Amino acid sequence: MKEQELNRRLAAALEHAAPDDLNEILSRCEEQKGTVIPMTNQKHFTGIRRFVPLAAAACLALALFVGVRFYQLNQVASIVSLDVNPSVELSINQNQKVLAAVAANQDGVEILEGMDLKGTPLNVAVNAIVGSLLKHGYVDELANSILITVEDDDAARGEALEQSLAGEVEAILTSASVNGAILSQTVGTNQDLQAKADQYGITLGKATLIQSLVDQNSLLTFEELAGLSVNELNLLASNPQYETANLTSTGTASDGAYIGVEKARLCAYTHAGVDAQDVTWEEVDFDYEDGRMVYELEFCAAGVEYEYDVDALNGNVVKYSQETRNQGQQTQQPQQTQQTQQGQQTQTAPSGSDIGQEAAQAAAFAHAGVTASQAANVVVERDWDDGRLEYSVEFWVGTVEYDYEIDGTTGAVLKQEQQTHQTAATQTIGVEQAQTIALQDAGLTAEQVRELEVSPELDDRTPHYDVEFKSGNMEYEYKVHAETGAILEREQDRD
Amino acid sequence: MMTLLVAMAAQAGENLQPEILEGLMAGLAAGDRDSLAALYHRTRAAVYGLALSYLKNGHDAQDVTQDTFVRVWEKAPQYQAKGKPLSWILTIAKNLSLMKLREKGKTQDLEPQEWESLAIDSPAVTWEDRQLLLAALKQLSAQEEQIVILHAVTGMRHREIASLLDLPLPTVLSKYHRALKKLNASLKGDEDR
Repeated sequence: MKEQELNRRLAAALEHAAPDDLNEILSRCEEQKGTVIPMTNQKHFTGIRRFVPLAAAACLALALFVGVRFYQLNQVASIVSLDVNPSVELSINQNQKVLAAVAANQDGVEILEGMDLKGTPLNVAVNAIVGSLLKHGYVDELANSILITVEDDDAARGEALEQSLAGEVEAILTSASVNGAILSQTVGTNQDLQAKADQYGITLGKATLIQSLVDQNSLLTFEELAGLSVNELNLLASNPQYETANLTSTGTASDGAYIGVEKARLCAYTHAGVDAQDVTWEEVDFDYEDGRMVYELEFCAAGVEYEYDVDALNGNVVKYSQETRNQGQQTQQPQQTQQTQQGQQTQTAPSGSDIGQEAAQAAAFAHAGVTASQAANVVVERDWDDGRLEYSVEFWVGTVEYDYEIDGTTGAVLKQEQQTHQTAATQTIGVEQAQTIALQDAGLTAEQVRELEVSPELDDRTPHYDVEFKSGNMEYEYKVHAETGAILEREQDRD
Repeated sequence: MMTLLVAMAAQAGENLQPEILEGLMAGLAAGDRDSLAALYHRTRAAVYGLALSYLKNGHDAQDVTQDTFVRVWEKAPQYQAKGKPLSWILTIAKNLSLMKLREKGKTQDLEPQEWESLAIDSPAVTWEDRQLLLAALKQLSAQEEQIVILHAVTGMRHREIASLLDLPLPTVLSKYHRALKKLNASLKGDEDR
């Protein structure tokens, strides 16, 4: 079946398979609209004040039942964790008295030193801990974020406590004249995540925040984010690309430890050769790239769209790309007509002549100012996209990774991207070696097989080559490690 | 049949034009429920298809599709028009799918062997649709399936798909072409049987 027909059939199948739940969705949106409660700080404080007398009344009632009370007072109702870089966990009973205070990391030990918090009311303990954080210089204008997590399987009770604590901490920071940024969340028991938190020596609260970011960006790993402070995580969470629905945030995370947006902007504009006056649109967010905090800048100037990652500590450009907007529009506008033509032509080549892989590769090398002998891990792919033949050329020179899109008929550079990594690309075994390893494993020679195909998947978490071929009535599929040549997977089926 | 399919594909392309979707997003931001209905009808197959590729289960994909549009409604006032409304919607669908997978503890791809295990209940699904969807879900890896579905249903360019899925463009291209080959081989096998 031809590509276009397959695409059309798949689109039709999904159109048929997707249930029509509009009424259900509209009713849910109606409910949402009707029950939204504005979450302002004022409301939080009102909540606390209402909650305190209620809790006191509950305590009095319980006092009548001494036996029951003894049990309840020693039962952990919630676990409250405070994370900055030091992490501290407080187990509390249902009367909000501290049953145990534990440091979750080495910095936490310093914070709790000399404090006996057992039996103290939670608000007193939190006051003491935040005071200690301030005294030891962990919360200041350079890093002002605190994460408060209430772990409680009774979500309503947990959320009430979360709001109360957020208000409490905010008041302490305000009285200390620190412009704080507070993140707060309520979580239920999660054994898998707890095990991961224990493995990295962080609290469940911090693990929950990290997991939520990792879930939304496959380029991030739990391991590297576990080493970041809460202020750095707060800066990342403020990037609109991340959904943090379960996290309440007040205040703004400080970027005082970094070069600042203005300097980052200047670095990017200078690198791009763009005058600030010519910039028509811009967005700046924080992100984490290749082991460092970066300012992620997107801007347009003179019809060109730029994307920059600027090292937040030293202003070095670590990654950038640029794309001419007009080209994108020109190719998008006639898409409808071209699709029809393409449907008729199916996989035939475009009308212009194909410059070929080598010329495309040479065009990319020339643009980057490198020679073929300098480039490593070169991958060239041919594609017929949007009515245009394109070559994608990817290669490394030292620690710099280059990505190019080259017009397949003119050799023009359509898009370029380059990224400076902390380390150079690991030397790969190459396509031919991967092919040899797979064939040897299958006990076959190149002459004995047909439809032999080797695809480099060097950007996968485990860089590897996919090797596929057929021999007789059998079909073989291999995954070969790109650096070690080890066979990661082998599959053999009847063709 | 072929004419109908061509017409449907052309209509799908028009339905998903960024200018139209941007207009609907503005309507949503202003609380207009008709805009939500229109947006839903234009994009539901893409959202459902993407969710299905992650979850391999019709009921779960249906839940995520609903949640996606509720989330889109809630977040519409914060949406910044940058000419990529579909990518924004599909990013929400992707995130919700990943969260659903985590909730269910399904970190490994399921391998549906039978149509029934997919739990796709819509009566509009034809025998041909079943063959194709089952082949896609059985034969393709989750990423291959996402790439093929996004390209087929939304007409998104490979570059945009690479950006949405956080994959390098060459990976998207090679996976796309390999996926088409696998699908064709699988369907041919079915016909031969």
